[in-house]
Amino acid sequence: LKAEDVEHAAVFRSDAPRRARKRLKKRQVVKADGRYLIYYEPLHAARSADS
Amino acid sequence: MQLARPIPDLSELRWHPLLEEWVTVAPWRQDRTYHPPADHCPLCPTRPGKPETEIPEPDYHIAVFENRFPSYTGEQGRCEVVCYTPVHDSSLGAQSVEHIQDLIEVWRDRTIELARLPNVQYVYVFENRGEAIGVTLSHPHGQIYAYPFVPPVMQRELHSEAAHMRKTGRCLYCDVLGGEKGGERTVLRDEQWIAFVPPFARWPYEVHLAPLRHRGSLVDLDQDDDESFARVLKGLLEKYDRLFDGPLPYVMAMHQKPPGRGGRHHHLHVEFYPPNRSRDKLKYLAGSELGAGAFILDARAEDTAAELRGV
Repeated sequence: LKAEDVEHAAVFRSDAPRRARKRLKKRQVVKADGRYLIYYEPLHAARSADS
Repeated sequence: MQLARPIPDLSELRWHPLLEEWVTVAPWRQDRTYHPPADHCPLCPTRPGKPETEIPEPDYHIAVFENRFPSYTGEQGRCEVVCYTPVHDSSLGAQSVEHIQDLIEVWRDRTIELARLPNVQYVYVFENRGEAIGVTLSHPHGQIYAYPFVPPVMQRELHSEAAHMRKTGRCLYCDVLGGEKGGERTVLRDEQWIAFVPPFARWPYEVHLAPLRHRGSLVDLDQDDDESFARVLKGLLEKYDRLFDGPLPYVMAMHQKPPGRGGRHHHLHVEFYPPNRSRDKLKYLAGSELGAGAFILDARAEDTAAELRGV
């Protein structure tokens, strides 16, 4: 195996959990007709003004 | 031969025996909301004193709800609408990198939740943008379909990936990315993600966005992946809108691995298909593409990539 193949195999076989930092909280409500609606809001309220 | 899978009060799934794929029949979608005026947009927040929209609150950050005219519901799956922003005259590419990171988290959360439903075999995140694509609501939004089967395009990708893995021991898409080291088809990139026109593009301005390291789905992305994904996605969409000095229509199709153990050789990527072949001409799928499945292209990936790099 060439070095890049070894590196590729190592990445490919890696099952180590990867996690992005959580940025949002969610709030789920049920609409009058039974369908769900989910609001996703910034965990830190001050950030909501940025977008 | 399977002819149908009768499920009362749900979409009818009919089996196409020649192509070996499901056709979904959902006649109620004929009545879905069609080009409402901006002041009656169902995806805007509900303004004080105005009729209630799909979102009854006066403001929101990102909102997701069950489609009122679903192709799949109940035990079949789900169809969701993802409202990117409360601002009606905006777009995905106009959002901040930070807001797009939030959206990636929403896509990931929906992927995890929908994959838990008992009959869901595939979660597909997509966006149709622009009237040329057939969009009926102009408010910036995307959709998520949780299918009761693995859709045929994904089936073919998974089949090719498994065959390549058996033959070489490598991920097929990692090898595709390896072919982009020269950069002549690269539109933009950073350390984590790349946007490029694949050499096998079927649309003139088709672009693939992909993580350079192997990731199977949104669930596999870490913080750096998310940031880079958001930055490259925004950069590409801004280029698209500069290309012909206006909002470029497109289909955005996210290809992630199916839930469970299937598709473990799959490499997450997002495909974009703008229908334009020039500023004022569209490419239509016609005899060769629709009837024979053979795409004919009048542009070279290397040339369109250079054009996109330059705007």
